[in-house]
Amino acid sequence: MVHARTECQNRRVQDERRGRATLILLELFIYFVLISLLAFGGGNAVISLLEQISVERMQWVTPQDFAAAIGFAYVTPGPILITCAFIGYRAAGFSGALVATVGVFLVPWFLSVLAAQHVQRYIQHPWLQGFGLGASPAVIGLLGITVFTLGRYAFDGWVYAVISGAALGLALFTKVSPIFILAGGTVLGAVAGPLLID
Amino acid sequence: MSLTQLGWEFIKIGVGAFGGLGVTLSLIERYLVKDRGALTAQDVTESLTYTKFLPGSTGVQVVGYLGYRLAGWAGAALATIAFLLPAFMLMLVLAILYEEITVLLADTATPALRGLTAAVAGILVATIYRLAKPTITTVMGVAVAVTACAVGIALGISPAWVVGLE
Repeated sequence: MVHARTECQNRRVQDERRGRATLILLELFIYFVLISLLAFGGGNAVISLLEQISVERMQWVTPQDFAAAIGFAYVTPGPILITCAFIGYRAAGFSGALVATVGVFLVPWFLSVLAAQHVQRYIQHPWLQGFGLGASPAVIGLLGITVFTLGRYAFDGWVYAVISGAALGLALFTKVSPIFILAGGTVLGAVAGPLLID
Repeated sequence: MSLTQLGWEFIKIGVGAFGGLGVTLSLIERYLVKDRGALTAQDVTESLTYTKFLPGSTGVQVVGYLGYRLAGWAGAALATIAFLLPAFMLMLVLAILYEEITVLLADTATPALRGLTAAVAGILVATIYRLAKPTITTVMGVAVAVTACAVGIALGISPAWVVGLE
């Protein structure tokens, strides 16, 4: 009888654990969908919200984890919001990483494909053409903000300005792949940066 | 372009897209516009125009939008999964090796990351030029672009991530 009771308790503990794991996955998904819906202008717009939710509110990761995750997101290719894969992994292992990633990209992806579908259908409409005519230069102009923000972080010394100028020249006038330009910039920064401080 | 080719091109873009949207655009411009001729610079600008005002990661949205233009819903899904796969796998590896990597990163990363960021800024300027050339053809267009940029900088749009990095 004692034996039966332990087994019963074991099962209950197991069920509870499984239930909690499912709950975490559900929470990850819902919160990341919500965060993605507030990311107007791109992923960078919600980094502080992401921190509030995953560090303070839900405590999926510690502040140190979060800082590392952002650092990793910058040294890995792809969008900044891939940070969510890291947070999901810390919170609930591989399935957490997968659920978090799907959650943060799914709805915006769906919206943009819907837009592609409808823009194609109505591209001849004067309103849409008018919008495109005004909005396209604005959107290109907005990319300039990113250049400004990047520059403010990177231009810690003249070496970095030289790297940037060289990258611009190579990208404009040669066929060198952007990947090699990036690799070159990273290596030069790593080598020349410390010299600059001394 | 077959679906296999489409998937492969977007995996290549996903592998090389360090430093966010700017480099993603420059790689799309290089692989799909210049090398393959599957898209035009106007298509890329169009994808930006109609996704920038939607919430969410603009890189993924541009990729989804152009994937749809190339091969419908299947293209949109395949392009996005292919684009995200390298980043996802790498992030997973980093998450698994987390404790060791953090120590390593703290010592050597800052100057390297500054060099990377500087290179990204340079490449982005080149990309802006390539996108602007066929799109911005009037004085009015130049004025709109410059105003959008100046207003954005003046209002200090999302410098939060720079703080997060330091």
